[in-house]
Amino acid sequence: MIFAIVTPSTLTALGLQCVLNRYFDAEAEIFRSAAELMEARPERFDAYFVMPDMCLGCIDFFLPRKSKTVLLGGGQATNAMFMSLDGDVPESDLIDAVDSCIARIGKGGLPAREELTPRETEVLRCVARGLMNKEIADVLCISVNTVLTHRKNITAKLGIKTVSGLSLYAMMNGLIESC
Amino acid sequence: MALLHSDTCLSDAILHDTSLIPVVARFGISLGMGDKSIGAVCAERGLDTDFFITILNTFINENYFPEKRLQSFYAGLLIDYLTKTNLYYAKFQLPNVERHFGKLVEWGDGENGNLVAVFKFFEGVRKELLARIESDKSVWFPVLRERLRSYGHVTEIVPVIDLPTTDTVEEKLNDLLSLIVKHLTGDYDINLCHAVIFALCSLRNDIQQHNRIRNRILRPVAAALQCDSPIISLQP
Repeated sequence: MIFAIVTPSTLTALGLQCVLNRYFDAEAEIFRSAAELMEARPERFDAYFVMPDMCLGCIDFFLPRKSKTVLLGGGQATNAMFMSLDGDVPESDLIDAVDSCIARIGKGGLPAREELTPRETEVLRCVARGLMNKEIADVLCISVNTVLTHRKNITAKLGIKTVSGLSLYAMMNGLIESC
Repeated sequence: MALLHSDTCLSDAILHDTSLIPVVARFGISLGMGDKSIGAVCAERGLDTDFFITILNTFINENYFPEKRLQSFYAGLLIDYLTKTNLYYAKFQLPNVERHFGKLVEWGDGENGNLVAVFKFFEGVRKELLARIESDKSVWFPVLRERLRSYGHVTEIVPVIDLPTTDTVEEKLNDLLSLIVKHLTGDYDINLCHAVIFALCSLRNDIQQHNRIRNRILRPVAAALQCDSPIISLQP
């Protein structure tokens, strides 16, 4: 999982980042303001730990994502609509509270790696043959955006990003002829 | 690991994080340094202690990258350092990976076709890295040094907006490690395979550090030196 921490307090952000890394094996990026988050493709995060005032400042963004937004702060942050996280508690209680938030977000742990789907395998074959995204889209009669989504999923599943690496994987697994 | 300081014992730091060994070596410091502090070792060798400590700290703490502090060093020092890292890749780390990889491929009379294919992939990455090193040595660094001589120290630089977000050598090394660790099939010598993985990881981590300095510190300096933007202030 990847989280966004939005607070001007570096100390708070680093503390939360450390807890998320150490106890939940999760990545977290720090933003000093909501504006900074908005410039960094904010929709890619699985959840947001955000100061209440910053949440209010970008309510149009956070409201549709209320199930993935956690307000930072104690009682004052309590809001029926959003989850909240009180930092003024002992370490173990804080970890339990973060655990509970993550469980409610509903994506505990990293997504399980899966095998490539038949369609992804077809896309991989095309990539390995050196076809460009547009050409792959034409060959498979799908949109370029769909090709990009398949490529993103292939990289996530295989842990391989470059075309030459993907070609080698395809060759090692008999998906294309070795040259 | 805690940040290192001038009075930190260098051998303690190395024992705590052995990834510092190649870094220390490229500054000309041999093992067997006893219990000397980092400051004492730097004084003996005429090294800039602040710069040396900053480099070590960026190595041992992945999230620690003090851009302002690094930008405050004379750019020539950064070029010298990157030149040393390049030399170290070309003379030691690449040959080390190649030696282990060669033996791994030879094992079992080269019958594991996947190993041969992965080795060829590595050879491609090696050539690409060596080409970049040669280009740094013969083109980029000499031009930068010349500009620095003409203009002096760049005291204020403009961030480069279109920084490369990816580096093909770094990405291919990551892919290579994935291919070996996640997808390798067939028989192979375990010890040799582990040696290849450790050598590749060491090279990959080193190049990540190199690229951070190269892209986030030196490239903005180079951009400042190559344009006459009024934002740039140059110290004669």
